[in-house]
Amino acid sequence: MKLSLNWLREWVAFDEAPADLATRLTLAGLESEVLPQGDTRLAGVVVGQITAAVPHPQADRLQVCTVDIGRAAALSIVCGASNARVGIRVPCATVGAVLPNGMTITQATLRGVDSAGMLCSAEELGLVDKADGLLELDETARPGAAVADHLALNDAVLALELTPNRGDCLSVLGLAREVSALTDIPMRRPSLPPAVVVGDKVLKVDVADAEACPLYAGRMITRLKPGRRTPDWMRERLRRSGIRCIHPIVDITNFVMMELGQPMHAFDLAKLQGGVTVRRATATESLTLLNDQTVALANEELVIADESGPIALAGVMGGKASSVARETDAIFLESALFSPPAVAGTARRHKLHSDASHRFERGVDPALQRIALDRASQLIVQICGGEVHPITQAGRHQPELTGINLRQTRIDRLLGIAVPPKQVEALLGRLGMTLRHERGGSWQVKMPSHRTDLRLEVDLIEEIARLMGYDQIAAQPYAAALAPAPLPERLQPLSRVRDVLVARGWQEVVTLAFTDAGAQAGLMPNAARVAVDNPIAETLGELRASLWPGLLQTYRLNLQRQALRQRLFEIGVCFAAAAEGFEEHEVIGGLLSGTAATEQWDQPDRPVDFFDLKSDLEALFGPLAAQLTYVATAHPALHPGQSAQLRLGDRPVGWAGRIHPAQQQALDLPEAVLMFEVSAGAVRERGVPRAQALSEYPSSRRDLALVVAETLPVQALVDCARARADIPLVDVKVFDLYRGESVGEGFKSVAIGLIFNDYSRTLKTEEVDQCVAALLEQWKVQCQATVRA
Amino acid sequence: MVHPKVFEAVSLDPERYTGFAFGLGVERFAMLRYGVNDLRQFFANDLRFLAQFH
Repeated sequence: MKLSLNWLREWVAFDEAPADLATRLTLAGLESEVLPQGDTRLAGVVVGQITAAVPHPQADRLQVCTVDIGRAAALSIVCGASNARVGIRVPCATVGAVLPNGMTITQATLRGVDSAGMLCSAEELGLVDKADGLLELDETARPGAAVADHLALNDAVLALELTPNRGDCLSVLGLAREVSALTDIPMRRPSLPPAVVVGDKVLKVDVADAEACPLYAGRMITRLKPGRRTPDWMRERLRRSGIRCIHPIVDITNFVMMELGQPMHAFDLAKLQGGVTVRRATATESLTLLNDQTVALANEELVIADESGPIALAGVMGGKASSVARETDAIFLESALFSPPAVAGTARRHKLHSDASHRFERGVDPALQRIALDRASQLIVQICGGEVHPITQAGRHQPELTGINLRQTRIDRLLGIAVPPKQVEALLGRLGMTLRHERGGSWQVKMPSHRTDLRLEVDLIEEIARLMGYDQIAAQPYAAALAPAPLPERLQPLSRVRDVLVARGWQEVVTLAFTDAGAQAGLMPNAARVAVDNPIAETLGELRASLWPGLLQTYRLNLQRQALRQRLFEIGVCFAAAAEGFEEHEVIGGLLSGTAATEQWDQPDRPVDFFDLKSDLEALFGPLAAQLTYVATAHPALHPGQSAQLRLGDRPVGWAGRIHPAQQQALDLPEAVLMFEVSAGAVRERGVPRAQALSEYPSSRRDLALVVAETLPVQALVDCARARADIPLVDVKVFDLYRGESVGEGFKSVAIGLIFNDYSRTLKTEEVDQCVAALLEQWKVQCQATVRA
Repeated sequence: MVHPKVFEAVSLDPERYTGFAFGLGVERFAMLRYGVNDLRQFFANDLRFLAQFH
């Protein structure tokens, strides 16, 4: 809600500067700020009245206007606005004036005709973002007067973001009440003279659902004078509240809504058939609204109906057919109370959020309807003339609210400070509550009608704390000792996992757990994915089954910023649909692209490959790396020839590989990036090391070159050696890989170093040779390996 | 202030147990500490930003 501070000041004479008032309100739970505004002094811009207008001799669209600005000599000004005509009063920027948009007005010659100034639109004065034609001022604008004075522009606008419980503050009256309570400056209610009833016509009103509409009041106003215009003072207040002026009657209902907080609606009496009823819609009904939208009323929406059917969506928006128009000369003015659930459901279902529904959803003061009706009637008579008829109303009266019992001991206990009884009474009294002393240090508290949000004792205690200021409660050290749970030694903290990757040049990123269904379907068509019931955006329709979609998106984002070499990792929870609901598992994922080393002079550049990734994964697994195996396995997101499932023993713990060419193409990536994803639990569960006996005897090493098929993974040779050696084989090194003519097409030569060592004795040369010979036999049988000639 | 109904829902006596819920996200402290002027930077994953912090 936006509100003019001058308007507020009429109701409560606060001393604070605008920004200080906004801070004070924010600290009291009503988030507010003063809207920035340009120069509103508009020096040199005065009211001008066009006394003559003749077509420009050289230009079809221009007129030469004679403008009275209250001086002896009238000005001659060339104007291109289509609404420029004799008689109207408009802002006139005289020579030397500087407009808020920076334009300086000079004596000019336009197509051969002298022009001594400029007639302005509201846009040119910086009052609105967009305006067509000159800003027309009302007859109270005296030629020559400063426009800033006429429009009372020396003002500030407060913008409030109110929490849903404080619907009572959505008006000048409501905010003034709050400011008065906060500052202890009494309110000065402007006297609002009631409308004088002169007619005796009544429209029959009826409420069929008193739960949804506790009160419906209305009256006819007839013999309205045609052609009346909303006065500038009201236009300006509505403009500062961000409300567009449409029609004097509509403007007045909006004005009263902003002033008192009661949404109202005016029906064109000539377009009503018979009396009005507040009832639930029947399944086949529909209604075309003021915004030209036609809504089907299939869900028992609360409507206002006449004999022809629904004419308004109660508390949300009026219907088009019964709305006031230029020629309207009689109206039925409605001022009703609709219950929050009745309005909220309708507004949400049809995505119709209006100023009226905003207020009814939050709760309107049940004592306000007749007051607002009288206020609006009086303004209508003042501006449009007309005859006011008696109020008719229907619905049951609101039950009197029962009091709330408030205990002094409870206040002190909940707030942790002793609040003196006198202060309790003073603070709550400022909020319009009446307190009656009861025995045993407690009060019976009665709420003012507008505070529909206060129901419980704690609500009152919260009000006391809020008005005192939470900052008045002194800080005290924790009364309880906070003991973090110990982390078992076998479990590596995630902070160390992060450090390992960061030390190796990786960057941690954070992406959303919501992700795009399409992206997931492409990367993981077989995963048990989880759809989100109410996605916040179309592209966030699923819970992530993998960190890869987020990492790929991050990769692309950084690619747009010219980062070719990227090492991104994320630690996060992924989701999988389960028989009941879904499962969560914590995952470490990463993406690798660009060159192996940062740009430098010492080594030739080469793109990252699978082995760079493998080396980082081994660092990540630390002591577990020795048990880690890479098993060539297909994965829909990964390259068929360059992907592996990671296993610890027999247990699958993750995936690593290059992105699948089809995915690379689908995602339009310039490079086939490498990716990994491993279970965080597997990485963390490291075990407690057991010390091994150290051998005091020298080790023996044998180096061999084996020729094997190109397709055979070297891991098979290593596994075979470890499984079959009959003397202690403590290490296996792969120290060379050769492909070439001498080994033949489709084969590779692998140089392997076998290191044997027994901790209790020196191995004999013959034993070692025997073992190697046996291994060669095994390699031959299991891996079709031959010793390189 | 924690609503008494919340305590009732978990079978705690609201006459005996009370609570407050408020606080600041860690990002706010980090913003002040490191001179970051836009909270969204923490979630934008721009490498130029991330590289400043290790």
